[in-house]
Amino acid sequence: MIASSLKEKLIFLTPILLITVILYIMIATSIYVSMSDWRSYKISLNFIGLRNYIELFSNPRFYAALRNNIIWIALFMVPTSFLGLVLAYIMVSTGKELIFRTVFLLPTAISMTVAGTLWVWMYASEGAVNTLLKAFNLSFLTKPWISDPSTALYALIFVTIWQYLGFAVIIFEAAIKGIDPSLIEAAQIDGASSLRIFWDIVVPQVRHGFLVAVPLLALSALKIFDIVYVATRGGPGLATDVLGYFMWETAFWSRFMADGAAIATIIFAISLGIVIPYALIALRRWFR
Amino acid sequence: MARVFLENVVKKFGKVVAVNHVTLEVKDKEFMVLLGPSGCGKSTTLRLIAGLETPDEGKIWIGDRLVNEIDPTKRNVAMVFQSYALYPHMTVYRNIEFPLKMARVPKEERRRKVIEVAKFLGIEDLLNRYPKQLSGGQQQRVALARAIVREPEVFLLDEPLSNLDAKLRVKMRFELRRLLHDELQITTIYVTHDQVEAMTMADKIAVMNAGKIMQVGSPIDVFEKPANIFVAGFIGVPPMSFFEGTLIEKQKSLFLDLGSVLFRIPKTYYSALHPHVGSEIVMGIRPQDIKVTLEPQEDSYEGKIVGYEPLGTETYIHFTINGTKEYIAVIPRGMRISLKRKVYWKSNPQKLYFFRKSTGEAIY
Repeated sequence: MIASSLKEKLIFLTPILLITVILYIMIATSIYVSMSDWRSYKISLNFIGLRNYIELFSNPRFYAALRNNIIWIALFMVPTSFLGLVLAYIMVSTGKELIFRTVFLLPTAISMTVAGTLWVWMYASEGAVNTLLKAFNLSFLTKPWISDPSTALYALIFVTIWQYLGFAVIIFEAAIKGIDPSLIEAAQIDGASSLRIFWDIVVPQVRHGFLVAVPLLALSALKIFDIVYVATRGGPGLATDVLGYFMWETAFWSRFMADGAAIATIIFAISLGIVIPYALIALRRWFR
Repeated sequence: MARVFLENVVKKFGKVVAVNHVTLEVKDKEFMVLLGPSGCGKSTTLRLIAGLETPDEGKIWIGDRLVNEIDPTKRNVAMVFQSYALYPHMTVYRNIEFPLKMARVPKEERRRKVIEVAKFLGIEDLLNRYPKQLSGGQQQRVALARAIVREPEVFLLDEPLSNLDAKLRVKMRFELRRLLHDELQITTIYVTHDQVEAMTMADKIAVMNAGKIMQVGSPIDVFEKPANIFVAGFIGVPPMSFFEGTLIEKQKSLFLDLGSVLFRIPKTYYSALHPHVGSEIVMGIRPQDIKVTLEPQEDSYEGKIVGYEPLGTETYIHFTINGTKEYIAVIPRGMRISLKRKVYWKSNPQKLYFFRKSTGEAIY
């Protein structure tokens, strides 16, 4: 029997309704707090309009953090998705999927705080990276990677690429496996080299893989916090400061709850800016 | 244009031997059909020729070249897939142009050739469309155009008609043969499980079963002179009826002992069958060569109808002799029959086939 009573429907729908309601209440509360004067341990919810936002927009640290986030998204999302696609293609076409998948998924399985600690050690002056460079007679390239403001941000971005690569590989592996194998074979017979097949057949056929990977990776980079917290605390100076860390410090360190909520609301707005176009594309496909 | 020659080719997938010591010659400009049930290795054979699979043993020649180690990209063969394998993100024009682009043909020449082929196949109106906007028949023409445009030495087709509806299939069958064989005269290897396609299109048919070639010959040859029980049973609609029994000799005449019935074998077959007296043999009769009547006639045997399939122009009846094995006969329309009715059957004495039961090989 498939037909269900109203009672049954309610039983199954209640949990998701509750979660949704609570989620939206929290978002709404956060937005309200961002327009209040709550700036201490004591809760204070007097409405002060957009004053917190105006102050935030005149704070240079906000722009430094936003700039770092934008760089992070760009330098993280593009190579991670592209490398993920290339590796997935090599993986599927060589048939060595199990080994590859294990190797690339391992970093993804580690928590970001653990990975962060690990890389702090690797990036240290006498750490693994510099030791390796010296071993290959590349001493002139050695650096205090995460304490040098010119390299700190990129060093951390590299860690996130390393960590999320497995995730991208899995998404593109699924996308590549969805391609009709006879398309690849037809292209082989038509005289296309592996590289041409990759560009002319595989890449256009895995667009939906990008549709999944790109927004998820962008959101991960936008929300980045833990690696910064563990490795650099936003420093040296503001070199690795990001909105997530700025928000945490403002709200939970300085106890400027309202200002922290304002930053959180801005992160939320940028997230919507990333997600909405993709959601629209997905919905259009759904209804087509 | 080229001859294709497979010499003792073996292909295994794990423990399964998909192609088992196949030797096959396809002459220049010949239209060869690989025919067999699914899983018989015909598609694998085609893929070996295309270079999509590598043989474990044996040699494959295309023209004068030994192609075992040559990449599919460089074999100069074209293939039409069962699914057509059109590139979904490219227009019809770009699909047809693709192999030329890969061969670095200059742009202007590519354009000229694509349009020429499209006109030839009557698809010039579709050049700006995408594959998903085309019907099955149109997609198939595009797949053909993409294969033809590069003027390959060998044309490989893997069940190209099986995704079309029955009516279009009959039309395309005729068109394909005319196009590939009569007009372009390209060496063609065509894989199908449909014996009607094979019979109507082929210069030669290679019947395959369980990875082996059972017989190679013209359509008439494989129909008239099947080399073994498999070919005899596979070719022909409805399938040949087989009568198993011991061959015995009585007063200078040969009989097939079918248990309850002693079937008298016509004198014509005496010398061919005599060495097999005493052994188990299989006699095959095509349903069209079994005459069924409601009243006894000279040299006829009794049978009982256990089923019938009226087709309009004629009717297939299934009958038994002693209640176990079923045989099929074709009767003209209008004959009044009913289930469990007693009938009398006799064979056309010129059209009997005999096989060794042990090996399945043809004796006569």
